[in-house]
Amino acid sequence: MAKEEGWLAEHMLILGVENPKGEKTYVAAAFPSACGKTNFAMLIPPADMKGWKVTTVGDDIAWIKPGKDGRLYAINPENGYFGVAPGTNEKTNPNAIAALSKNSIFTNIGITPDGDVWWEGLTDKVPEKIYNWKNQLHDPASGESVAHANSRFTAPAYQCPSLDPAWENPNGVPLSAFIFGGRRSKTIPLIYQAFNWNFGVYMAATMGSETTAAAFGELGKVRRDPFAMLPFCGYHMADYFTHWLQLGRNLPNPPRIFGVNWFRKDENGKFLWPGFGENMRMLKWVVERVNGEVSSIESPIGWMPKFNDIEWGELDYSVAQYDAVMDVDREAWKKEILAHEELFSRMFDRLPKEFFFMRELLLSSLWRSPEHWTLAPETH
Amino acid sequence: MSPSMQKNAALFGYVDEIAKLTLPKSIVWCNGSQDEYDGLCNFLVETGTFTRLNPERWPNCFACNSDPSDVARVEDKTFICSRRKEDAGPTNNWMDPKEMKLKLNALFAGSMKGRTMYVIPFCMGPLGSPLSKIGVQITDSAYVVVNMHIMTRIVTRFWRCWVLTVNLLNACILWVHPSSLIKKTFLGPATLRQNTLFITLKIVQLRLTALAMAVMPC
Repeated sequence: MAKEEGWLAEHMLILGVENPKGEKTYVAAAFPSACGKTNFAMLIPPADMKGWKVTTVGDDIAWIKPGKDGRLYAINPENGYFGVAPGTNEKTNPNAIAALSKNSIFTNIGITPDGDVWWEGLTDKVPEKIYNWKNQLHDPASGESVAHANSRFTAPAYQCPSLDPAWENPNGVPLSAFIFGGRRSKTIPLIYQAFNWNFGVYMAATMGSETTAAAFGELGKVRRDPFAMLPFCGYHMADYFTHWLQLGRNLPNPPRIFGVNWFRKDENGKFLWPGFGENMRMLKWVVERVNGEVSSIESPIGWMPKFNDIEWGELDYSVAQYDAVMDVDREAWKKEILAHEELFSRMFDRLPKEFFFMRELLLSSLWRSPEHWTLAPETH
Repeated sequence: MSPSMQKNAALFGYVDEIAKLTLPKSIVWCNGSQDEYDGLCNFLVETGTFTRLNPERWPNCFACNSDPSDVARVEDKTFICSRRKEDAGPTNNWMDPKEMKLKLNALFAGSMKGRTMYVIPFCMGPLGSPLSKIGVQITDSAYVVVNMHIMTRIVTRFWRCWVLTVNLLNACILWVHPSSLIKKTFLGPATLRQNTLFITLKIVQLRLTALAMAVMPC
């Protein structure tokens, strides 16, 4: 329906970023499941980033339409949060905890005899006596979980403390940027900006995420999930790509498109980036980019922030760590591009022409790059 | 039935058609009120589906368990029923719409016997927004109704707002969601049968492409 009527129905969160001057910039972001979409939508900036504030318009769905002024406007069609419970706690997402504290429904979590609830990650310790989601007394020796991995809370949106004042504005909120990301332990840098709308659509179409639960098949395997829409796109995926390409061309000033990866790891399997609230430092760069307030460096795959473009505040993060998380590994990227080919061959009949050329352009710029492309020392 | 509903003959005819197929003992036209929500939550507690949580720690909160086989989206049981298989593309399962309709009609036949059928008029998006869409969901699960109360805006004034076409009727015929198709849970009547829901939702999404539905200022 969105395609026929010329708008976008997306699996995206919508958030507002307020800078210390009180200026508001709205951003929509798509991540596959288990990549922290709800946490990002309700992010609380680190204490040292004074004056920066994130407000929540939506955590799951965005309906986006071009406005008369040529900008894209988005609404959250939902009135509540249907969120995954496990892992949600006071530290990872205090806003979600406040939202679900009353007038909420819990499905497939654990219940104590005195009417308290629990799920994995809510607190460090399992309550002594608790009935699991199968309504059996939990036996710690069994190794079974108390709550189901996909257990949910249904909570009214108005109870979320970070709710954006314009979240019910009938005209929607104007979007300045799209962010796409997956869970990738290798290859994909922490953050980069696509060269232009077309390359951004290509980036989103080829995004992938590593499987976290054995149920999805091989653990750690990259599953391609274009725009995080694989389970939700009800028609030919290549027609959906074309719709995006065309919509951007019809806009006089389309939003900028960014790729992020909060989950990159070093060779010992340790996360290279602390994530959660610290993601605000990257979000700030996004906001400053779209408002023309900060520069960037051209890498083989897109525009990247210089080390000094990021506000580090009290986060102890070295140039070496930054280089590692931003590294473009030529050989790994060539493999990545081959994997794009695999995705494309499945939808070859309707794939937009641009995609073939963009893939070739990416490959050529990688081919001419050093084995490991990093920011030059003078650009830090 | 209120006079404003009667004006909407197409919708009423459709609900009647579903009722004749699924044979519920009664029909409730939901209004989205707090009284309705509280009443259904109490009903779910009385029938054993909901557990009321400690009112001091968790005011007005409820917990429930689903059937262990019914815990997530079931992608392999989600079908796009476009006329041509090519239009569903390589990332979707496809079934011939006629075949699906026969299948679902057989499954739905008599499936609400002895139960209440709820008709939910809901809006996705802020009320009065040109970006919002309205719809109607039919279910015999009180759990679905109370979740819709939180996740959508249920407003009866939509009964007047619809411009219905035959296509909407085609779309809606598959947007039905009887929980008697579901195995009973140990906590009482089943909760949400998500794969049923998702099959129907995806079909509706596709059928809606041909739908002339408009939201009038309300």
